[in-house]
Amino acid sequence: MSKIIKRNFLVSSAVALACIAGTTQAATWDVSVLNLTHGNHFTPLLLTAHDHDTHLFEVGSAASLPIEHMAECGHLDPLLATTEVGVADADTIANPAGGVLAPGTSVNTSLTTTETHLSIVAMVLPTNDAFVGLDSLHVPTDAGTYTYYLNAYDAGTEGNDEVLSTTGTCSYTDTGTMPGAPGGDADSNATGIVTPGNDDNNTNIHIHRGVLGNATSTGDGTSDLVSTIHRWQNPVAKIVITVTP
Amino acid sequence: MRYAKIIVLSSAILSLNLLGCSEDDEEDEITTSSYEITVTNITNNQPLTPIAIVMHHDGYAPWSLGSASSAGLEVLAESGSPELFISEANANNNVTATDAGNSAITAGNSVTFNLMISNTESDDLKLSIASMLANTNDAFSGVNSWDISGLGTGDSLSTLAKVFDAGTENNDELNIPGSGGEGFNAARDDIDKVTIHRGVVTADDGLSTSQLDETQRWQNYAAKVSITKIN
Repeated sequence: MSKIIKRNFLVSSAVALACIAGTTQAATWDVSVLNLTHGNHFTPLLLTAHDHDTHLFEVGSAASLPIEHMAECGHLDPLLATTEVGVADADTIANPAGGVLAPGTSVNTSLTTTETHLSIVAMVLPTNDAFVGLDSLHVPTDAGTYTYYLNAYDAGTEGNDEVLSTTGTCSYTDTGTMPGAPGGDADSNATGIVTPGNDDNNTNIHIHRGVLGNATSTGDGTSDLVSTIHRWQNPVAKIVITVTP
Repeated sequence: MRYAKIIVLSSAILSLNLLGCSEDDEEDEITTSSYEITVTNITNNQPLTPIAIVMHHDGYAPWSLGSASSAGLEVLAESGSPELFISEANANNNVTATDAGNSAITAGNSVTFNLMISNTESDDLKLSIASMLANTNDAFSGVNSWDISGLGTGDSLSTLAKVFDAGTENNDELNIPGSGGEGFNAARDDIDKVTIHRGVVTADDGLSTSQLDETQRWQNYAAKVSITKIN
């Protein structure tokens, strides 16, 4: 009898120690992000680890101002200034590709963290306010390799006029232009699909309906996008996480 | 939130009293489980018609990919009315609870339902949901036999719902309910199989006869479905 009690005590203290260790010992998450689109670039990616209560964005809810900056211009600094994300460090990786991530290409990065959840965001170019996103994934704690697929969202903060900026600059307060087309395959001088400055019908974050574009690149038309190049289907990104506890 | 939970709990106890369970001792009093289900419209400009909700076990399925729609699903997908779809579910012995919304959910908005089942029904519990995309011929979104049996009290799960084509009406993008056009028509003038919807073309993308515009296009997914087991 006393032997059984002792064994149980040993088992439970071992469990208690494991629990303590689990909350303080950092895990390593090696993450690869693959752009699955055929004709769209991702702006510099942000990957950040956080607790279960944190959301950088939530589908069905309004975008925060830092998410609007990211989705309309690809700017990460406003997100890096929030308490949820914080500055780039061991478990907040900004711009792992050193620039845009081209169609069909991937980038590998690594986070070392004691946190439990992972979020990823980047703008999809060329669009008005599309972004690829992972909202607060509970990363497995067991060693292993795990695969996930991500959708393209519309931030709901800018009408999708599909007009390319002519200045090359971008502000979230502008009247609604696309900041750039890194593939060099966009049109110009479009009149716009919706009246510039108009909002989306759904002004919360929602699944992006896709871009429309025009069938030809003729330097005119309603859209600066080319329908045979710039359209996509979900999913738009594949991520593979290798967990080392 | 806490207030809502108290209401749900007291209504559970009330229903027990109505069922004449007052002789049971206190430990046995809570014999129901209640669930809170929220559906959010995550399209840009497609109203979702009144949601049909079915909690069930194996032996019921709201549709089967590659097979013909039931009459109830056809009516739901062509007109938006969930009535016959719910009647069909209620006639199935493997269905434990049903509910339906009263009005459409416009883009960006959500609706929450509370459903209660007997604890004896909670093993292998499944959730199915269906709703028409109003500005289409016969597109619907929903989840089919989603396994929710692992939910403990206070646990939540969420999933995203794809868009399907009921296959019962030709997608001419004309006379659609969302524009005041025809709703249900008993003729089946499409392939008569449920498939993943190919999307709408719209007048802005070259189908000049379409009543739809580019804002009504979508990509998967059209709805977010969340469920919490309250008790």
